[in-house]
Amino acid sequence: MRRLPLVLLLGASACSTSTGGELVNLTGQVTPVADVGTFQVGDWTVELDAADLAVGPVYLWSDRASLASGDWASLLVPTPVARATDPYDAGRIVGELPHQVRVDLLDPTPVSLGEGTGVSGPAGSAEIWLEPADDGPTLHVAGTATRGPEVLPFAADITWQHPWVEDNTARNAILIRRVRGLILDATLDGDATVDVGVDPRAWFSAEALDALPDVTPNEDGVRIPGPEDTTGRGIDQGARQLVDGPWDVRLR
Amino acid sequence: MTRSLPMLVFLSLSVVSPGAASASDDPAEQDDTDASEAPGTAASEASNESDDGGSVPDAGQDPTSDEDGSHPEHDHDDPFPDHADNAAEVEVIGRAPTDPRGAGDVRVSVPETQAVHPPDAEAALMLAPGVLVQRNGGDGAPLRLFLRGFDARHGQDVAFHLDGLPVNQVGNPHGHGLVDLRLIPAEALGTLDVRPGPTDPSQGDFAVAGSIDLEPGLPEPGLLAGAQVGSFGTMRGILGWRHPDQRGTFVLGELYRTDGYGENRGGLRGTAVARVDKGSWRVTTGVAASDFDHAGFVRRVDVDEGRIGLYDTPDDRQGVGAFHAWTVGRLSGSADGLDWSVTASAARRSTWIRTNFTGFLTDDRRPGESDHDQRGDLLDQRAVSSTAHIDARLRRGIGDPAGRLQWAVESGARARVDDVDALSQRLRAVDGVPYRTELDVHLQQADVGLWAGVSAEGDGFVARVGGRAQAFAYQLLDRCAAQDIWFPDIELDLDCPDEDRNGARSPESFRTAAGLGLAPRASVAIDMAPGHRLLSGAGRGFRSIEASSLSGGEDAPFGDLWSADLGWSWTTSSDTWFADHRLVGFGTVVTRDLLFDEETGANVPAGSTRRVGMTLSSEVHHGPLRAHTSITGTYAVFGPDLPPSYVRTRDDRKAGELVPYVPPILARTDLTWTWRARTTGFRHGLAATAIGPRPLPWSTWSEPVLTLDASTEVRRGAFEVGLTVTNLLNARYASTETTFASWFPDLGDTDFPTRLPARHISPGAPRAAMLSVTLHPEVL
Repeated sequence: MRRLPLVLLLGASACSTSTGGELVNLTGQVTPVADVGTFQVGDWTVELDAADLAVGPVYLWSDRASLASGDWASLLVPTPVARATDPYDAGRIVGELPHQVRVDLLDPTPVSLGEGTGVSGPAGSAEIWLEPADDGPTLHVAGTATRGPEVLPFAADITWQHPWVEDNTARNAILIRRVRGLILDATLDGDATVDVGVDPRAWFSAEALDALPDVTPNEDGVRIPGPEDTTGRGIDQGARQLVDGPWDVRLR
Repeated sequence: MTRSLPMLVFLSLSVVSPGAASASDDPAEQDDTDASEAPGTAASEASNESDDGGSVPDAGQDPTSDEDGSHPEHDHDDPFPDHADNAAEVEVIGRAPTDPRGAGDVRVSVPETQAVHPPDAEAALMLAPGVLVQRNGGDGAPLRLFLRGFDARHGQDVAFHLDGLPVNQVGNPHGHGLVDLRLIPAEALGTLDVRPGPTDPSQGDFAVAGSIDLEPGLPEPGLLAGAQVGSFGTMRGILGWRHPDQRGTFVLGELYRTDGYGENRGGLRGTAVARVDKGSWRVTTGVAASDFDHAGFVRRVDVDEGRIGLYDTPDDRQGVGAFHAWTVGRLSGSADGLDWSVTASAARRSTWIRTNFTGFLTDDRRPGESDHDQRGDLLDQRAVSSTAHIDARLRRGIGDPAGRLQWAVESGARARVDDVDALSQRLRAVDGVPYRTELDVHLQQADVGLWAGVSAEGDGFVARVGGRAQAFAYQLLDRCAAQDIWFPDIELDLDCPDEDRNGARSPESFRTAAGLGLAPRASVAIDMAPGHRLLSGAGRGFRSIEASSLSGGEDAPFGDLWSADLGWSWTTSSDTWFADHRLVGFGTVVTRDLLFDEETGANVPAGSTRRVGMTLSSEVHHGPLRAHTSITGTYAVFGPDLPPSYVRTRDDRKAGELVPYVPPILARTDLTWTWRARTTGFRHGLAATAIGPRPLPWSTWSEPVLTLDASTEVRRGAFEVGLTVTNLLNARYASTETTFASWFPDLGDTDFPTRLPARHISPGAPRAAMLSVTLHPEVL
């Protein structure tokens, strides 16, 4: 009871005239890495003839996700918040670009991801969806991998649903086509552009390419890796890799 | 008489005694009142006070009731009677309840104050200063209530009683404390006792923003039959009867149906209430049933860009309905200087509400589920509850009745037990079949309160101090305690699984919790000058918490509040006019406030909030004109301690910033003009409600709202014809606004979910007309 007058006085003296924060406008674009050309992965030299990807929607989260931040201790002792058992939890949505766009990653011209909305404040991480698209597989890649005398044409089409997503991977199935926890560490303090950089070179690993000779070529001599072989799995995981992967999200 | 009126406002209202003076607020009728019976005279005090100088304790007591419940003075030839036989004793001072404690306590005589007949009992709450009632989704939706800067949502912050029956529903999955006041037809509403803030020790659970007691009463004796037909296929019929001499004894039934003002807003309800009032005892019983469609919310941007109409619905499977059966009885008496009363009630309720606020957002594949697309967020929430309560009160004068100070002690005990089965399930959009159980609990809650106080009344002042001890106990059987469990080889898609990592288990879990709190409360009223009175009250209030959020064995925390107010009243009158003005400032601090979360469809903790504000109200009568006007200004902010769980998952409330949706300015006026001849009368009414721009999340503001309602009635003998037009200006406005994320694929402009919280609105009703014909055969 005795604290009441003091609290009321403080309440009256610290007047606020708003609810805090503000809405901001977002624009998005996907920027392929310039001049992918020919690149080296382990013993392999890879030359891409096609690399396109259906990107989006993109959501911005207020915090870093525990898993992406490398804060493994927080996984063992979760922050006492709702849904804290989700290691991908990154707070609240603070921005969205709810659109999908197909991008030719061999053409360095930025592609618009449309417009969206955000709220002012920290934007700790980004989430990119790799959803089925109407105009083809979500990811399409084709090229030639060369190792010494081995010249292996290959092509892969991935849409992250069955058979690329097994029905019994109950825990993380929904996350497979959602690249969550991409570190952003930015602040939304006004209208901004979300620039999503994609580097298809990161789709490939030496281990995956080392298994490419095991993939049976089709009648045209092109090896088409699938979800059951190491190369296919490698491209699948490479495209969705969080850290040191193909993604580079920035706010401008 | 005039100069002493303010002080005696409270004295005369706080008593009921045989042969109490009857007076009207109509100045002309006051002229006929014998001076010995008028308030403010020694004779009046003597007649009103019981032998020991105390007053009958109020447990929903009807202050206008004679001891035997009779009131034979009704003038059958008077068209539009002043309801003097029903409320005159109150209405003469009109603005204070039977036992005022806080500066803002007010009694509203519904028949006298209303400029336009309220369509239901909930709409009548708007007649009280500082109260805003809105509805989202149509006539059947639960009310959304604002009082003194509290967004009380469906009633969680206001303790409601109907003739002594507790109305707040404990453990309702759509909102703890949810209120459905459509237990009686609006015609059966006599008075509203509005007590903002907890300043009376008798105020118990849910009295955070305050309490509102509804007192039934039919204005006229004899038969009552009426029919109404109006816009949007609305039809309504009422049929009732009131005892010719015992005005508290009546029976009244109502049938109502409507197609609603837009998509998915139709429905029907039926209500019946019977009451026997013999003065020293009374029994009221009723049954109510309703079944309505519910339109829910529409996204503001979808409306602005033409993807959905303002009065359309994003999901036509939403609905709401309820069954209520209730009985409340009261026994009172006075012996050896002791005034006592006992009120007991029992109620059985079944409520259901199906809402889909978020569309197709929340059904991401969870642990333990096989792969699936979003199946839809339609949430089916049901509760079946039984409630019993008893409230006993005593009051005794002490000391020398002839002394300068009149001392009295008062005390009471209140116990309430609720037994609730609550269930929340998500339904598939494709076929309406439940696919996930969100909540399945059996709750038993006990609420026991003991209170005591002492009052001192002297020449020109009244002071009261008291306290309340409040205990809550909870027993919760959670029938779906194991959710979101996954481990290798578990069978997928188990709803409320009966196994976990350690093997087979029961899906049930039993938890108990209890808590105890103490609440001091005090009030004082001082006559500063003739006609001028200073009033003040302060106290602590409680609200029980949502039991489903309790973990076992904890010391159950309360949602509690500290409140204080300070007011000044000025009452004056002459032969031709009467005026009562009141200015009240108030401040409150709430710990553990609750806010509604559309994603979960339930309230969530939201830390502390602070409010300060002021209400200016005025009642003026001049000849045939009567005006009731109030304006309330409120400043409400969040405290520094928003829960981490809230801050991490929501961004629409910020520490130290304004509480969104609470209207900083709310004004209401009800004007009536009544003209009478011997057998013919006219009554015209105009009601205006103005809501200032409301703060919305992220520093945006809503548009101001002004609505006008008008009515005109002609009565000749037994026949009465009326026309009511609501929203006369046909304003297109948002009745309620809120902010959350939603995505309905068929409505949005994106192929992918919009997950950022966005502004959603539920429109107020457009212009509507209602023609009514009412018969009062008794006066034929």
